[in-house]
Amino acid sequence: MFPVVLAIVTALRLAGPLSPRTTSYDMTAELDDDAGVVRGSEHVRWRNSSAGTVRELAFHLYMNAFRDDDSVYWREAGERGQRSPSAPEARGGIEVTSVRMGGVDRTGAFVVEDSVGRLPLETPVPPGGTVELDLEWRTRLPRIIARAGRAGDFFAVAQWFPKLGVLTCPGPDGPAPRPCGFRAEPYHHLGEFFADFGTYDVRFTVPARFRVGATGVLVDEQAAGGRKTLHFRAEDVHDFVLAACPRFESVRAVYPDAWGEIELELLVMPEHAAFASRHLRAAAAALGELEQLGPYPYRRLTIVDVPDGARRAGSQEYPTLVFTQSHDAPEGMHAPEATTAHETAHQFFYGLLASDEIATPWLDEGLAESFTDRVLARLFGRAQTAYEVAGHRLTMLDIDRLGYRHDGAVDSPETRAFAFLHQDSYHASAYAKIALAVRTLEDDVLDPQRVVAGLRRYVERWRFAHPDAEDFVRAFDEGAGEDLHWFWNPVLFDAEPLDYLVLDVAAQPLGPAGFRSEVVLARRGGPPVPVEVDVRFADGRTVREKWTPQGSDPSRWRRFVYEGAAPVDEAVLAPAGAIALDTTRWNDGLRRLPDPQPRRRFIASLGVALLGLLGAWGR
Amino acid sequence: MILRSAIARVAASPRLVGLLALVDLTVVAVAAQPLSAALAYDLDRRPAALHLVSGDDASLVELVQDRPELLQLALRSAELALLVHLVLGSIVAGGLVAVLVGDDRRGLWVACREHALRMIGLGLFAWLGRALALAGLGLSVNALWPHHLDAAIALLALDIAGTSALSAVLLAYARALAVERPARPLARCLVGAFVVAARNRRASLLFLAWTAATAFGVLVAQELLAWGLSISIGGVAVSLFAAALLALVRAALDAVLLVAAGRVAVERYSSVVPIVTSTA
Repeated sequence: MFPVVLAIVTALRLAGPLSPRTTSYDMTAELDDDAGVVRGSEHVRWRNSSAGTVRELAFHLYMNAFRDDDSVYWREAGERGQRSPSAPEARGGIEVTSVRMGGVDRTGAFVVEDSVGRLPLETPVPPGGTVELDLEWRTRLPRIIARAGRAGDFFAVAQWFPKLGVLTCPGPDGPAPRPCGFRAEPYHHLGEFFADFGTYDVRFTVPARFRVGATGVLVDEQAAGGRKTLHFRAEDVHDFVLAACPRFESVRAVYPDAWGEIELELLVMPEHAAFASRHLRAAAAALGELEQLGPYPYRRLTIVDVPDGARRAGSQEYPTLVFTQSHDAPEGMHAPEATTAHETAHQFFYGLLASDEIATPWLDEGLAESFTDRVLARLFGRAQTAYEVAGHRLTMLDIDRLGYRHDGAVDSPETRAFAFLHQDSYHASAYAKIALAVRTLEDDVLDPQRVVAGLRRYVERWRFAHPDAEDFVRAFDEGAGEDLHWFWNPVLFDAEPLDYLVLDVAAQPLGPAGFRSEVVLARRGGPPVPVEVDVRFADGRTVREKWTPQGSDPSRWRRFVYEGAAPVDEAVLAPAGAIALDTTRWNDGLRRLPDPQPRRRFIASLGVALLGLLGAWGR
Repeated sequence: MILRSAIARVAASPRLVGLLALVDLTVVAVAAQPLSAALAYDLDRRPAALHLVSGDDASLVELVQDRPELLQLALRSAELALLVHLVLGSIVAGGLVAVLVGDDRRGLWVACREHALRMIGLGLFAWLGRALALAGLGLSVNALWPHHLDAAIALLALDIAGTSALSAVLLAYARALAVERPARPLARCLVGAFVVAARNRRASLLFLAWTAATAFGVLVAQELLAWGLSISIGGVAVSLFAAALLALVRAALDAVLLVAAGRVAVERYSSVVPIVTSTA
């Protein structure tokens, strides 16, 4: 076999370096597909970009989360009622077999605790200094449990190598030096990853029949003896992932934008081939939305469709590669598009803006969820982003709102990922609430252009860095041109949900001349977003009022009183469209007198459906 | 030929068909009342109630999240409706078989009363069979849900149609056998139904096809009507009239099956299973 040499040697389409490139990894690894084991070695170079001296390195050894029941992952999962699978194939782990620095064997000094390995340095690294070391390891991939592993001949080779944590000490221009350390959290049941930007040069050997997708670009491919070695390169990314399966079919497309072209490759399972165009369309629409915030700097985006038995790996983001899944849904149900759109949005909110996914999960999940909504609105219209089937419809934001109103009143978004009460609370606050908040800003506080300006400023200021909540708020407000702490503080730091309601609609006769009508509005919790109300009178007249419960009127309720010839009939809040963050829509309007017609129609539809079921059941 | 003569006989007795339809409509109307009353407080003063019948499913979910007891009430009402439908439907079906198959001249009410308990007993057996079939189906659908939505729905529809048609035909045989000889044990009537089905395969297949096709057609029409109501197509009065018409059609089709299958059972069963009149 002759080697295939490809011309592309960089994964970037913009002139680099784009990030501080604090770390670099040269890796060689081989997949034993029968055993589900990856054996590898890596040469790691790390630069101390802080103002402090570093005396210890910390590595993520994430696969140890699946080594036994005593891992942090399974202990936390157990607290939430999820039991560890006892089957041997569900076990995984990573064993670091050799650590050498400058030719000196330091394996004995490498201390592993759960899914973190620490190496005390014999010679501390001063500010600006570098350290280089060589590691060898063996990773056993578990049956797919969370984001990584194997399912038959499909391999999601993720979180598979010893990966340095992030030094969170201040830089040379930061506050006075203090003891510095690496932030390397164990793999938690809830929460994802955190690593530093750098370069990856990876040679990965697989059986020749496998098709492989990976972070970055393929530089070279060499085949020999029934196996092939693929050489990948990626710059200015903070993780490296591979997906391998002999059954992948490749579908390619190109997305043109203001900075050139992005190559899209979908690796799709043959049984899901019918979904290929849906995934690619969603990915292209997502890139189109993200383009408003700045360039996607890489040449490629690989989308990997997982087989049905690997769905726990099927909604996960990595730099320049995302895993998606093909729900067996008709065209009118947009679950496949939503998954691809969400994971593609992570290319910015995680990929470029590498916030700490453990400490501030909403910064990547919430903003990616918000962009999912935008992408689906672009594809299908705003009113039916989740589905439109037989006249029934639901939006993604409705799903978010329903989840948020059910589970969002427990934890605030600014909660560490593993500290959320449960998965639903995590999703409601870190994902749903932020998407609803961004839509509220678009519709009721700012406008879509100013929201994009805020997000663009955040991206410009913090790309290739590790922003936190305050960094986001400051940058967003700067871009939007307004101090929005009154909005962000209750949204991010409180769990109390927003609920506007019409509390009362009443009218009393004032004699033969007319009526005294009264409408009372109230707000329960949440940010004091301005709200409008339409007050309709029996003579057909409508009065639109606005209530801004801030500044000189911070009260939780507001009464409107009218005197006139006709009594008030009804009051309806937010007539132009409900406030996205408003959890409860039932109480957004109130009639003075009851109208049973809608109820009768609803009951009639249920009755006829029941009649059909009785007939089908038989007598 | 069998069906044609049954259709003629049913057409000659519209009041019996009307009674069957009335049972269905009454059961549903009564079952819906508690839910309707419980919803009055929540819906009648809220303009958002209109969203419920505009296809906005978020409103429905929100309502159920806030008032989970309403869902329980709806499910309890549906369960009760099934049970009452089983009792009343079985009694009326027994009377209909007695009058149209057994030529009972004493009138419908007398026939209904005479066979009531045995008809309910047979209905319970069929109910149990259907429930078991659905439980088995539930396990298969569970394996397909939610990742193979289309396949799960198709399997569900096929199974409901198959289970419903098969049980309807067997039950029609058994009912006729029970009415023909009130002393015949119910278990024997049930076994007899299987014997008749096995010995009269062509007729049984015809009845199965008739039941599956007509029941499926009416079911689709009814569910389309329910869907139309749920997204505000047409007026309530027109829709309810259509619902009543569909209930009548359904009752007539059921009656045709009861009569046609009943005649086959009565005519053929004695010829294959000799009746023992005396013992040595």
